[in-house]
Amino acid sequence: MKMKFKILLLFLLLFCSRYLSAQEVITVAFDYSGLSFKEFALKVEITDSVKFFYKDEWVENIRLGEFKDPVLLSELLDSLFKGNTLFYFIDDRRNIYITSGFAVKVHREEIKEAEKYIAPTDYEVQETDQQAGNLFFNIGNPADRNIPGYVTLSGYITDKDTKESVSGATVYIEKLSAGTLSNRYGYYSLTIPKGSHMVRFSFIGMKEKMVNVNIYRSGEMNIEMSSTLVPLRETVITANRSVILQRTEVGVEKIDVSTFMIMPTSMGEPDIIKNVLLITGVQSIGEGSVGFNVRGGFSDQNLILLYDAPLYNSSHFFGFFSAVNSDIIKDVTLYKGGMPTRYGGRISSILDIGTKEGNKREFYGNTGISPITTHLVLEGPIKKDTASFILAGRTTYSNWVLKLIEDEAISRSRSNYYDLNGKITYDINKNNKIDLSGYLSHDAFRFNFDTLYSFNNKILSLRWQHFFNNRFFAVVTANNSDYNYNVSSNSNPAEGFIMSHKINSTGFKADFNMYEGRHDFNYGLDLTRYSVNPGSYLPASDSSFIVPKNIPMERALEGSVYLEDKFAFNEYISVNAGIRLSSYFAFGEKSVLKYDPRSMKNKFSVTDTLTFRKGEIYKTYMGPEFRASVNIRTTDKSSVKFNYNRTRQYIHLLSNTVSISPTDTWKLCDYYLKPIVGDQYAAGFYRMLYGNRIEASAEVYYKVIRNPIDFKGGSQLIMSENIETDVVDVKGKAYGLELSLKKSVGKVRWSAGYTYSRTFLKSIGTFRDEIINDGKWFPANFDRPNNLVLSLNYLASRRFSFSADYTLTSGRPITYPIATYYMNDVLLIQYSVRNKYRIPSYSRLDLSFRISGNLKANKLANPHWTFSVYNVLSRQNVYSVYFTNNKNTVRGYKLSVFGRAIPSLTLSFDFFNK
Amino acid sequence: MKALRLFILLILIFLAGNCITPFLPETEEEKDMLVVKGMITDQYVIDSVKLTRSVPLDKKNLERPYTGCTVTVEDDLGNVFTLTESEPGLYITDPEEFHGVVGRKYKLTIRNNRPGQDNHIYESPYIEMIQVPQIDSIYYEKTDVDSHFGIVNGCQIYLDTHDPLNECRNFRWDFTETWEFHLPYDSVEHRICWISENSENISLKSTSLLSESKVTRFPLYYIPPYSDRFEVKYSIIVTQYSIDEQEYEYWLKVKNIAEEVGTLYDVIPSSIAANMYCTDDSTEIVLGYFSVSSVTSKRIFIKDSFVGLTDRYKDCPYMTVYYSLDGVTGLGSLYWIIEHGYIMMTEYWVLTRFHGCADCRLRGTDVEPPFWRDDE
Repeated sequence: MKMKFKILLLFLLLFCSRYLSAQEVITVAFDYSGLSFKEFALKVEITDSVKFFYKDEWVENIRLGEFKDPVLLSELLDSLFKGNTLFYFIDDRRNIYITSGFAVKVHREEIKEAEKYIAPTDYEVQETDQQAGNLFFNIGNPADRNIPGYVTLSGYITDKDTKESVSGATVYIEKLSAGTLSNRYGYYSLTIPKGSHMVRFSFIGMKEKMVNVNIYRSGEMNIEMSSTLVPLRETVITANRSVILQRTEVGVEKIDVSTFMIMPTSMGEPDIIKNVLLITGVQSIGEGSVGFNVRGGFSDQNLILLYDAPLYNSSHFFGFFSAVNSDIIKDVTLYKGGMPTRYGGRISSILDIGTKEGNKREFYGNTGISPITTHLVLEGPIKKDTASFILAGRTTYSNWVLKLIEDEAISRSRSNYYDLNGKITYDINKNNKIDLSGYLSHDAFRFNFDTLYSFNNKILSLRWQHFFNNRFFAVVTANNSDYNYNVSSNSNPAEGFIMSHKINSTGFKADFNMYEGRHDFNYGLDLTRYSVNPGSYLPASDSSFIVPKNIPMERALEGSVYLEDKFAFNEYISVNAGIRLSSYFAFGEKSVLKYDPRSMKNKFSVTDTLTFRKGEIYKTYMGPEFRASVNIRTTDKSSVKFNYNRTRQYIHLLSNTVSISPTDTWKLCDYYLKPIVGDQYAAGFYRMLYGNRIEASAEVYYKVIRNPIDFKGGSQLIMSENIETDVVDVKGKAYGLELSLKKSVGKVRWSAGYTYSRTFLKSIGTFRDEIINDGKWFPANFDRPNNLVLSLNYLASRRFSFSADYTLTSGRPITYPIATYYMNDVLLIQYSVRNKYRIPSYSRLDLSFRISGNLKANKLANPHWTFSVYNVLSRQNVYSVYFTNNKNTVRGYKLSVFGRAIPSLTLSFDFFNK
Repeated sequence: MKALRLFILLILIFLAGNCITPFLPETEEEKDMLVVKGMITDQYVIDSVKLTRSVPLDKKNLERPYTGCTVTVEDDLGNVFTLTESEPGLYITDPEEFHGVVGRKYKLTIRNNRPGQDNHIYESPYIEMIQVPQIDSIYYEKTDVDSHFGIVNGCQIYLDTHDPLNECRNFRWDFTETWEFHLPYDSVEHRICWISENSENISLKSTSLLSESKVTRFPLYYIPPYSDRFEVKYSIIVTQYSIDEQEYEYWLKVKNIAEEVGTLYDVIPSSIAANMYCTDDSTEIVLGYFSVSSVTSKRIFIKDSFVGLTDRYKDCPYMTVYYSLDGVTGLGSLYWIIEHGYIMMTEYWVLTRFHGCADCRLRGTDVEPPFWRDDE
């Protein structure tokens, strides 16, 4: 309140010193009973030395009422003009202008001056500052205020310090319970009734901004938001309250970097994928598994986009760490249900990683160490306010750790990874903006002096944003993503080999956004060219006996066009409907085996070989993908949404292991392998509770998955040339209920999520080996029905915060051995039907404390300490149950990946601090 | 992949307190399944079909014979041959009456003769007996392996074969290795023995995608260094079978499953269906395989010097007790006499605690195999 008072005081001071405020001093004291306006005006001109300006015909019918007591002129005029279209304005020379049909209003810019006088002495003041609403903005002619109707307010939201666009910011008018979110380019558009509104702009990590808008026609208002001073502070700011009411899509979750930076970590690494796993409806097989499962989708059905390019390998160190350095992440959006049509190519989810742009004004850096890695970020302007760069690197020093171990086999082993991210942004002019981004990651492992494994990811992406005008803009992207791995061994030169696999894709996207009244059109073109080396197995040297084997390259083109319209019928109903036409062309050269249709596809049923020339299209798939969602605002505090989604996917990850293993290979759809098609039906109910402090949501979904693949028991997939002989055709269905409660304001924040989800598969083959579980539905490997996630953040002060996470999940299904027998002295195991049993349930509690250095802003380096304990309960969660078949006995084992509590301490420094 | 798994495991143990504990799952299934293990050949020998029951996981791995069945083999000409149960669960042919003929098809039928509900008949399809060619050659190469003690030798055994008629397209081999070993004492009564081991590997090769049915340098068996197989003399006999594609697929699956059980990146396990069906109850699972094959075999001997052999008895001299004065009295059965004799009229004994050091029959047999001097 202190702040408000100060502002008012300044207001008054300014008025008194610079204006002679007529309204304050002009009092009408004479008896005006029964006078016409003209007579009255003449009298006032004499008694109070003012001058009236008006047209006679406007005031012809106005008669003054009864005189009782002396009254302020302004009050009197207010009552006289009430009900007609007349307005008055009194200037500082005591001229009184009467206008008809419009009001004269002076934009008081000076308020901004006032702001400058207030030093931010304490935080209480800042907090009130955010709510003060001390900015005024006028659009259109106030005289139109009596003509009812709707207008559109739109504009761009940018970060004041870095000039980056702010996407996902909430634009909200409390009075109307109307709001929207800024899109990827920071653009927002909101249709509201004419009049005066207080618009609130808020975004996590940014100071909330209130603007008083007097809007009488559609217009633009660009907003600069400034980020909060100290990183920790970021989380204190009001989260995207009421966001969920505004989105049309069902099942879209956005995580901001400031949220996950304070979450507990394993081994001191903030990890984006681990945070994604806290979202309801997202699960994984277990620790140390690459990938995650979204709403009953396989783990290869998630598209991870980094710099708009697909990231084919999302982890370091066999799944223990994300491959994307959290230092460059601005925010992460997971589309688990309603997928905008501009996205496609995977059927379960899109994980779009929004990356930071370099600061365009100041240099900034951060470095730190954790038990596993050390990292460094540098950013700053190349040309102030125009061009900037950001560079981030991360590397392990686990080689050094390994050397310390006494076991010779381990100390001679090598394990390291690193990743590098870089981005250059250049604002050519107001309407053109380009950025160039690059990503490189590398993993290498060697056990003893034996086999060496190396994994490489590369992404290069160029993006051009062009603004035709403020309501129409385009983004054109060209990118290349490459992933390869090599497994080599030369310990025994006679058997020395190099095995490699590679996928390379080049993408081109042209995306257009057009705002047209209440419509928000998005359309474009999306092309991807793939080339895959399915596998090569070559001798490592001349002395090797290995027979070289090269599976021919696979090439294909995926092309889509899409159109989507977000349309707000009225304040209560908005619709998002779109179509994506996707097509896929596999081209040669290629030889395809034809099989006898009367028997199972195997090498014995081959009848013919079809040969296709280089560049010749040998298989085409295409189909429309319909996407639609409806958002119905039932009350100010609640909404109901419905969603339907179809998605198509033309690429498979061949894996017959329980989780993704590092040597799994990518496979394009071909003559036999059909695209995976997913249909998802979802509905959600959302409600804000306790004065918008708690966000409650319930979503249900039902999903049908066509053409996913499974494999015949014991198939060898690596270096398999004709994968169709190993494939078992299955179909899948998944359904679930996701409940979540979230409090994301205040010092104590918490969230609770519960998911009930089931995923089943059913084999649809006709031949014996192609039938699993007699052709009945069986639970998928990642079917974990119950999942509870609780998380708590306590922001004790700006320097100290505490967070805790708890996860409880059903164990995943497993196929147990039930009996043994011998065949030719080989002990064989007879298993139960597929996935009949479950491993024990999983529960884990993680804690994290964070302490920041003192808050003096201009210190050279600002340290942050994070102390985390992973698996505090030291619970030996079962990752896998497996059986070894050794000589005469079958032994079962439980494997726990993290068998005890893992404490870690991470230190990081901000330098060149603002 | 194995090394990778081990590596990951070690790293995990180090970093994360990863732990592995024995575990026995509780399962509902208790049914015993019929396991058929049978083969008929073109040889004038006794062919057998062994019927057992599968062993539940928590039970001891003893063979549980399935007795009292009526087992018949029927050819495509309608001839029916009944097998007799010579010992519990083992049903044998009479070589006087039956031997397989190349080109004929055979079917196995089992009637379990159980009362009431459990009375079932199990059948195989007709399977053709395919002619198997001779093995062209079996040969070996020493491999060099780096070790802390320098280069040591392993031994890789290869096989070549071909079918000039190109009819036999799928080969299966098994082998039996036999080697001679000696105890390090001259005077031990059972000093020289022979040990035989059957192959546990499943060796398969299909030539169906080749223009001619020819197998060259097939790596049949690798003997790693530090074995004692080559101390004196070693022999291996390889038996070659001609199998049809279904059987090839069957063994390929057995092979993949037997060799692919790991840790973090498990292959999804799957059961292998037999080529036997229960005619009364299609849901009943039958295990095993009935195979029909012609057979040929070849033996080689290896007498060569290998670096890095292990003398399994090298510690025996250190484990002996030497008595030269008083007679040995009051010793329990835990002592074995290696040597008993007189030096200068003085009676002495060399005793060992380890039975194996005193009697080679604990590991092998002291009866020389009949083929042992075939190469001489």
